[in-house]
Amino acid sequence: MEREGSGSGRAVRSNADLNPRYFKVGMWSHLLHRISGVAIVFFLLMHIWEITSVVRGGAEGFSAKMAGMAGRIWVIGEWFLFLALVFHGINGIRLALLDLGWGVHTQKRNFWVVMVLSAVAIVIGSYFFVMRFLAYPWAA
Amino acid sequence: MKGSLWAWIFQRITAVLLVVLVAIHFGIMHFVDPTAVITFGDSQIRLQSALYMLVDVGLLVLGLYHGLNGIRNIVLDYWPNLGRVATWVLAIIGVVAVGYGSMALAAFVAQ
Repeated sequence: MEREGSGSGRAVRSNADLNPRYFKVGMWSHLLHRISGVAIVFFLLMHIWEITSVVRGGAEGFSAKMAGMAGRIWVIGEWFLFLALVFHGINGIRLALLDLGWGVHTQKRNFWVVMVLSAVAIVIGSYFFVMRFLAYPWAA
Repeated sequence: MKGSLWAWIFQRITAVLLVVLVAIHFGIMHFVDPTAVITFGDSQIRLQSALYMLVDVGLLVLGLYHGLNGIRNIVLDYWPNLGRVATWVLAIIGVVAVGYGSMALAAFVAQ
């Protein structure tokens, strides 16, 4: 797919739809939403596996599994999950409202509102994560 | 109405419900007592309450639907020919995960 007037004078042979060079805010929003979503799905499947440890190992197995995850490495992982959940949820609200017709003409502004709200939520939540991080050893 | 329209609608409905449920779940697990290590006993007590059990079942079913349907949408966007296969594979994963997860939830309240 050739694109003229790209500045460098070179014809772009790759699919320009997926070339980051041409991404605008909307594409980044779409990508971030999908990437965070996929990450959350992988977490969810892992989470179901660890919770169902009660089926495989009984009460002791479950409690042992939970105790085994009381380490800083896990807290860091949970923090990244928190980041993904906050962005995906708040941006998701923006998208659901968009599907209802609200914000069609203010999408770019609304996206930045989402980022600000996400940042605020992350800062507030991080306070609790720091408490948890400091309370745990590196490995359980 | 076509099946895919219902998938689109349910993706939004589950999304809104999940924002609330996940906020509750994350808040209870991580923010109420940030340094607590969860034990079987804690969860057993919590899940005696029908409301908490409803929240957890809701998270399981709605979360899996929303997430797996989301993966389905990605597959449809980039590998449209794999759409039918992907739908079946994801549906099976969903049913198995809901089943297995339900067994776990039941284990907490079994006498």
